Amino acid sequence: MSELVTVGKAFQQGLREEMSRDETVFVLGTDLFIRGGHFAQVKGIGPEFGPERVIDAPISEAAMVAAGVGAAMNGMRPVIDLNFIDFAFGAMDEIANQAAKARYLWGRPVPLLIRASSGIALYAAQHNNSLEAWFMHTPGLVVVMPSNARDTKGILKSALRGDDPVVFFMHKRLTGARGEVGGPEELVPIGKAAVVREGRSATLISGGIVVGKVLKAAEALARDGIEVEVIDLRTIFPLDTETISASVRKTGRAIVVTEEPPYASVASEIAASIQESIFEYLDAPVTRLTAAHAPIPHAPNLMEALIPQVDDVVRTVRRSLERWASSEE
Amino acid sequence: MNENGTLATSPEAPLELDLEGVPADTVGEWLEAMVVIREFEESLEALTASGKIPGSVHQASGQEAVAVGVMRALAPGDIVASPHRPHHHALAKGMTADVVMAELWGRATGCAGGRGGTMHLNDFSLGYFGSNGIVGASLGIAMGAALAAKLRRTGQVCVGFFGEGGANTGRTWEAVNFATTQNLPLIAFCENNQYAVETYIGRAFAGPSIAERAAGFGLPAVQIDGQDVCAVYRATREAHERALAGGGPSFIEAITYRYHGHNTGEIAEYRTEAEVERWRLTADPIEGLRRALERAGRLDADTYVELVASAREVVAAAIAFAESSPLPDPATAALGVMSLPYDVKGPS
Amino acid sequence: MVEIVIPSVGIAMEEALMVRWLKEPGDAVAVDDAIAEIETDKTTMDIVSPVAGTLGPHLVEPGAIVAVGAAIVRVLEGSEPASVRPAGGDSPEAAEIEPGPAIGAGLKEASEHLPDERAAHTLSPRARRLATEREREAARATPPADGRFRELIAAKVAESWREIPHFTVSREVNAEPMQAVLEQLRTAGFEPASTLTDLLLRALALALRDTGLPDPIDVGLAVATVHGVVIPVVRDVLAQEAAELAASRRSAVERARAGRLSRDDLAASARSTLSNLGSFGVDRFTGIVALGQTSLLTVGRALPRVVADESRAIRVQTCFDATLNADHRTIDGAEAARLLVAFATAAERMNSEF
Repeated sequence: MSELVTVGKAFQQGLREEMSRDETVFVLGTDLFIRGGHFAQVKGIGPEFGPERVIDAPISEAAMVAAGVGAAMNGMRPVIDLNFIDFAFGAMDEIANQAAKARYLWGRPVPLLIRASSGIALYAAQHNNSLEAWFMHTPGLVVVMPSNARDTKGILKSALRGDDPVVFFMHKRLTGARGEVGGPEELVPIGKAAVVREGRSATLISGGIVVGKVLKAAEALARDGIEVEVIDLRTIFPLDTETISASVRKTGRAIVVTEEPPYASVASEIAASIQESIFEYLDAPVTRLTAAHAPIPHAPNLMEALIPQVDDVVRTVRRSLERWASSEE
Repeated sequence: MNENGTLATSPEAPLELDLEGVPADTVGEWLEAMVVIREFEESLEALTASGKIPGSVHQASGQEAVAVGVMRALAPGDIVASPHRPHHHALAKGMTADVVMAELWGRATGCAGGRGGTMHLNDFSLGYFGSNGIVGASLGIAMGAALAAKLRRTGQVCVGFFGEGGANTGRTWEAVNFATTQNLPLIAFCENNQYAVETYIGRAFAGPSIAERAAGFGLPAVQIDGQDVCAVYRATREAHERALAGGGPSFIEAITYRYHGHNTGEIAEYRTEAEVERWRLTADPIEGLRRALERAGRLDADTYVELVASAREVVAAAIAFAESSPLPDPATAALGVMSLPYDVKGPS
Repeated sequence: MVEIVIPSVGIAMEEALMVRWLKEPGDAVAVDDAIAEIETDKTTMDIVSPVAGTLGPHLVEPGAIVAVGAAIVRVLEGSEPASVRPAGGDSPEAAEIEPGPAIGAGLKEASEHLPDERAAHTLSPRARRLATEREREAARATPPADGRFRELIAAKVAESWREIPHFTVSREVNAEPMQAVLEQLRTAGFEPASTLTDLLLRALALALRDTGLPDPIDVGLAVATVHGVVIPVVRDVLAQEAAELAASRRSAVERARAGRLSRDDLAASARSTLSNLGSFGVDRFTGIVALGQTSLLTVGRALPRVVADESRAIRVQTCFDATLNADHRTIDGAEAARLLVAFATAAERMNSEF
């Protein structure tokens, strides 16, 4: 298809197609049937498929996810929509102790998808938690974070046809971002990153909404003759270490850019694993550029001051190149 | 009050079972099942003390009537999820003593390959959707399974067990509320053995009773004598029929008692031996059924003796099976976490 | 207590091979006693003790490659008690960890606190790997020969060739004045006797002085050995009389052939080297300037040639060809010409008074 579709619509398209194809797929969450969710992510799907396929739940995150786990263990493919990923705290046992461990303990797959809107936007601290690292850190969970419409739809399809519990992060501020999407059988593989821009001076690694900022920074750097390679992770766990490794071997320099707090972050894991595996290909230490280690405030100017901006990415790349020279092969 | 100042509990009356409404041809098997459970649970103190079973386990001696009464009221495809005190549920649901024992021993032949231990038994082929180490979690899983049963129209009824301690966790009531709003084929079964670890329910529970609290959620809720296997059976059947008829979930609170501590090796200072003896003498579930069967002329003393001997043999064979079973292969320790491949890392 | 380290001798020396220990832990050592033998990229040499005392435990094993500056042993001066320490062991006290600047609290870049300076000799991991690979490739490209020495020559020569833009200037030189001087010196009868090489060294040193090089002027001498070409250094050539110079030259040649250059040889003080292949039957040749030097004088055999003078009269004269190979980064054509002509002049005006 060549028409441009928003990320929100891309999710709807994918969900609609999968629900038509597989009658065991259903959605459960608050305010889904009429409103379509807080980000219109399932708008129109309730009336189209009926109240047994789009179930409105009370505000009971623990029960919602438990329902998803039990139903997944009894032949269904539930999509549990938490609306905001921050509400996952109220269902942490269900996610980390039940969904993540049933396969390991009992050999029983839990084909459950937990969708939630995430990332730094408005409504202050309690609605702006970055939980990617929490879920990456829990063995048994797949964590995905698409950055555009095509990947949103394609990864959703892969998740709904797979056997593992998936936490599906959709950045709040990406909901309206437009892009092309694939057709009903175009699946985007989980566990594969994408090189979205080629270059030789450095590898910039990021996911979700940050990819857009990094690409803008890449354009600014290119005007000065610095060509950076940009990787869109797409899946947080399992990480595509092959793609990352091949790129950093080429460029000798890696900078990981995320919107999370720095300590014990996804960025930390990527940095550690790069230097551990391909130390001899590095001209510089792997740099993490993350948000500050603080809750997110309401005032937009404060909020923007805490997260990496395009300028910060440009500055970080330049500083790395100035301090640690490149060795040419 | 007990002599040592702790709150006391007593059976309401000596146990008198009414065999009304109970299938006459199978009730003899119930006694057998309960005795096997008792013998199994009684063997565990020594096994954990000697270290043959790693760690401690949670015995359910005294709670046999709940397990057998519920399971015998269910259909073969029905689903059950248990809490951390699950052996009696698992055995009553049809799992063999061998695979349960081997799982406690951490052997490869256990029902979870040695990975789960006492709190994570499972047999999905029998509809046993696992026992769970998190209080209240099993009700959530049963509730989810009931949702699937309704959506897929499988005709399954799902039972989620939890203790009176679980009747105080938020997730329990989220599940009850949601099941009721959705009219799910669920039986929320509260196995009230009156002590949540070391806390007597009277000190931890606000309100008149668990069943009455549940009734506030708008679903049919009853409190029954959990030592009376026939009462348990009848209450479960009624809930089961209601669910099958589309009448939604039911709540059953069964008052029962555990003779042992919260787990093996416990030194109980929160209740007295005298109290435990009182329950054994006046409200033992096995004794209750045996007396009722004898009175009805369906059981003689010799048969009972044989029954006990053969139960002991079953348990001895299970112990021998566990002891001779291989340990799980350490090379598999990090495998089978999820279907997508990744580097598990670790010491090798 | 004095720590003995691998010295840096020679322009690009970064490491050495620990060949063998000459003293054992507990042995008494005197000042200048040789305690270990190491092999560098140029030669084998002894490490000597700068103090008198008792030798401590060996910190490296024979066969180990040790970095320049790394300690190989400690000498306990006088009556210092020897502490029992395992070879290569560190101090048992835990290193104090200094708290770095606060991270977070507004900082977005987690590695901002890293220090700016790095030790002068460290390269990035990538650069080190590339350097190792290049050395290996260079070693592979040369024909296999005995041992590490050949590989090292190959690497060094390849590096010279890569780094230094060479050009040459040549000149025919009248050998007869020097031959006459040699005759005279031989009648004096000192041992070792002077050779043409001594006079060529002197002429080159004079030329270097003439073109502005300050004293003392050290000159390298290319010596062919079984292991390959070795360049010992004859120090302060112009301060030496004929007999002294002959002795210095012979000692240099012996050192080179034994593979045992001294610290002075490796101290990189020479700017120029003399290479004479005349006795090998070569008329003229070009060579490769050594790293750290600016020129190489290559000299062929002296033979009677037919020459003409300005009046176009023909005669026979014994001549040899001298070629100055120069590093164009520091020496331009005119300078090279001046140096070569100064050499020719010094050679053709040589007398026995020096």
